[in-house]
Parts: sequence; structure tokens; C-alpha cells
Amino acid sequence: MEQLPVVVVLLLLFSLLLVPLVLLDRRRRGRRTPPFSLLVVAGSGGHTTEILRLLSCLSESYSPRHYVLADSDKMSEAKIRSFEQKRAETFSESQFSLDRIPRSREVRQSWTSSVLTTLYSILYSLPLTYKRKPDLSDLQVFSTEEWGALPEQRRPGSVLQVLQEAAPCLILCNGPGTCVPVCLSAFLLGLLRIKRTIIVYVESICRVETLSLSGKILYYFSDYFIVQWPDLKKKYPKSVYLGRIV
Amino acid sequence: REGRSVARGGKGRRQRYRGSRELGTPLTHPLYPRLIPFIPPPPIPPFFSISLFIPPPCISPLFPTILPHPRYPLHSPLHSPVPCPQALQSRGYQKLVLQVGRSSLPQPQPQPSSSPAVAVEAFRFKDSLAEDLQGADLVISHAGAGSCLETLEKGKPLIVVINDKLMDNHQLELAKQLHRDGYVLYCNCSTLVETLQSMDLSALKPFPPGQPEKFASFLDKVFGLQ
Repeated sequence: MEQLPVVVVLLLLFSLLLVPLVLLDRRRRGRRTPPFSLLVVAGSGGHTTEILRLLSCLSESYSPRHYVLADSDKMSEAKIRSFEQKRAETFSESQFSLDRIPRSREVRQSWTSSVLTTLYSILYSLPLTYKRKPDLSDLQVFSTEEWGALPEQRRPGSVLQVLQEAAPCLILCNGPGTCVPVCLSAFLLGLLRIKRTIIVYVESICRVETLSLSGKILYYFSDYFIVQWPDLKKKYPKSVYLGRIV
Repeated sequence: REGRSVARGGKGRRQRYRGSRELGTPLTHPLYPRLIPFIPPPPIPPFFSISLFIPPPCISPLFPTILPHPRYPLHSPLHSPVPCPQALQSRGYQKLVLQVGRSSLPQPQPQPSSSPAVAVEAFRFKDSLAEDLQGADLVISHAGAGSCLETLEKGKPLIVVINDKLMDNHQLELAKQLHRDGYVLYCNCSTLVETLQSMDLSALKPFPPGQPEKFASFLDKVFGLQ
């Protein structure tokens, strides 16, 4: 932790270098062919329920689905597995994977320390905390039956690793704190022209008049920002209003 | 030097700079166990976060059940009476099912012999409240989005109780909006009794379900699949 100020200064300088890239950024919406891989950020409890409802109507072309969870979130994992099992009954080629990243912000953590912990979860791996199975070197996409038979869940260390290995075409998030480092990293990779990902942020149905903190941040970084109440559409004109979709 | 600062009750030099991640949640904070005996529970009214499933007596032969709302931590004084039994009886409700969560269970009250007692059943937590919701005729709940939407989708009348002391902002917004649109009734802890006495459940509109198909078609348009 003694090198922390140096690291922060280096990061700030690095972000200054990105300013010309941001100004020259032309969003090329190139034609992509199905299947489209999808990264879903599942937060705690209610957020997971909402995002699984959103995914319920997606067609077969959105596969494989990579779910990203915060560590120590058991309930969301159970919900996701049951959702994918039901999906595997209708679509035979259904594939998904589960990854975990360190929590970027504890509940009611102060703003300044949240910035630092978010940066930490973006960049650093935690080789001591996360175990790696020696024979699973690359991200393998498993079908639902194989997933149940795996003895231990593979855990990459950091968000950048997850993005690099999953390489999704689309990132879908709902508003938990976990989605901020994921979307910011994807935005960074897109600026550096490494991998262009479409970021879709769907604001939660609870948000009628104000945006959540993640929404306020990601309003400027997402490609499509979907709100579910018309008051928000008036306040944030760049957003998309589709009515109530949950 | 270090011994002196620790002996005064302060943290040692190494301990002063522990980040919030190491301290963990309040329950694992090193100081919390020592402070528990000295902190009284906050005085929140006991009948907050109760879901009453109560049918008008002429419509359903089943006993009305009350469904308390899940996952809501509720602190209440040690002796929490059964909430507003007279209001319930006056509207014809016969049974109350309470989900109590982490607060203390309701104590049995002596009922006047003339009026029939409201049967009370209480439990702490359940994995899924779907079957209780199905058998209920009225739900009284806190303003969580999941609880409100789950109840409204089953088509049950809902009274949302807002806890002023907690001031959970996004819950309040959703509850107010649903009330403005006429889908739920809305009250405070203190006005719950009057709301129960004067409520008109037929004025509530049926709740249209959300449409995730619109989202799927939006994504298809983005990727050029349509």
C-alpha cells in the first residue's frame, strides 16, 4: 500500500493520454454475425431477478452467456443456474459460464475509498484469494449438464482478465456496483481499439425520478442507456425509453 | 509507546490505518460485540412490514392469511403486540400470517370475549412466498421493488407501508409512482390503521405486466437481426 499514491498518479496520467482517443472516437457499429456472446453483470438479489427477466425473452443467437458475480454471492448463483436449466430445456445449444470478481464497493462505503477499490478490482489479480485449477488454462464454455459436474468453479482474478477471455459482443448490466468496473474496463478496451463491445445499461425499475450512482456514471460511457419511466427520459435525453420491460 | 496508546483505549499505530475492507461489515467489526449490550434497539413501530392477506368474508371461504414481507430486517420492542387487530376484525379479516424476519415474534394478546379473535400465524423466513401470496387476499408490505412487483403480478391488492425513519429513497419513489398510477395503497406506520379502516380495494387498478419482449426486439434491432 506504500506505492498507492504513485499508482494513482500514474493512472491519472494514463487517463490524460486517453483524452485524444476519446475525442477521435467514432463508434463504428459494424455488422456482426450471430451468435453474439453476452456478458451479464449480476448484482445482489433484486438486480439478478430483474436481469434474468430481461434475458428470458432473448432469442437463441445470444449465446454463450457469461455471468459476472461479486464474490460471496450465493443467492444470485442459484437463481442463474435455475434460469439456465430452464433455458436448456427449450434451447438445446444453450451455453453459459459464471465468473466472480472482487466487490468494487461495500454498502455505504465512502466515495474516495470506493474509487480506489474500484480501480483495484479493475486492474489487480488476487492470486492468493482465488484458486485456479491447473488444467483449465483458457475459459471454457460448458453446457448446463457439464457445469453441474465440475468439482470447483474457476475464478479469474480481475475484470480485465474476464473481459479478455470472454470477449463479449454485448455487456448487459442493471445497476449494481459490480457493473461499474466491468463497463469501464470494456470502455477502456474499446478506446484502445483492442475489443469493441456494445454496453447496454438498463436502469432498474425502482428508479422513477433519479438515477442510481452506477447509472449516473455509466450514462456517459454506455452505448445504450435504457430507462423504464418517462420522467427519467425527460431528464436524461440520451437515454432510450421502451416502457416497463421488467 | 505503542503499549501506552493501547492502554488508553486507543488503537495502536498499525491499527489506525486499516481500510474499510478489512473491518468488514458492522457485525464483524471488532468493536461491535463489545457495544451490543449498550445499544438499545431503535424504536420502530412493530407493525411495520406486515402483509395481510385478508379476503372480504363473503367472497372467500378460506381464512385470510397475512403474508409478511421477506428479507426485511425489522427491529421491534421486546413485546410486540399483534398489529391493529380491531381494524382487521372490522373489515372482516380472520387470519393474519406474519413474516417476522429478525424481530421478535408477536406475543399473544388477551382478546375481548365478545369479538372473534384474529388468528395469527408467524414465521421468520421462507425460501419462497409464492404459495402464501396465492392464498392471500390482501398484502401489506414494505416498499421493496421485488415484493411490490411480485404481489401486483399475482393480482393481489397491496398496501405499501413506508418507514419514514429508514428513508430508503428508491423504494419511496417506486411506491409513490405506483400509488399515483392507482395500483397500490400507500401509508405510513402511523396511518396504517386509518388506511385499513377506510380502504377501498375495488378502486385499485389491475397491474399490467412488464414486457421484456420489447427489450429483446430492441437488442435484435441493435445487432441487425430483424
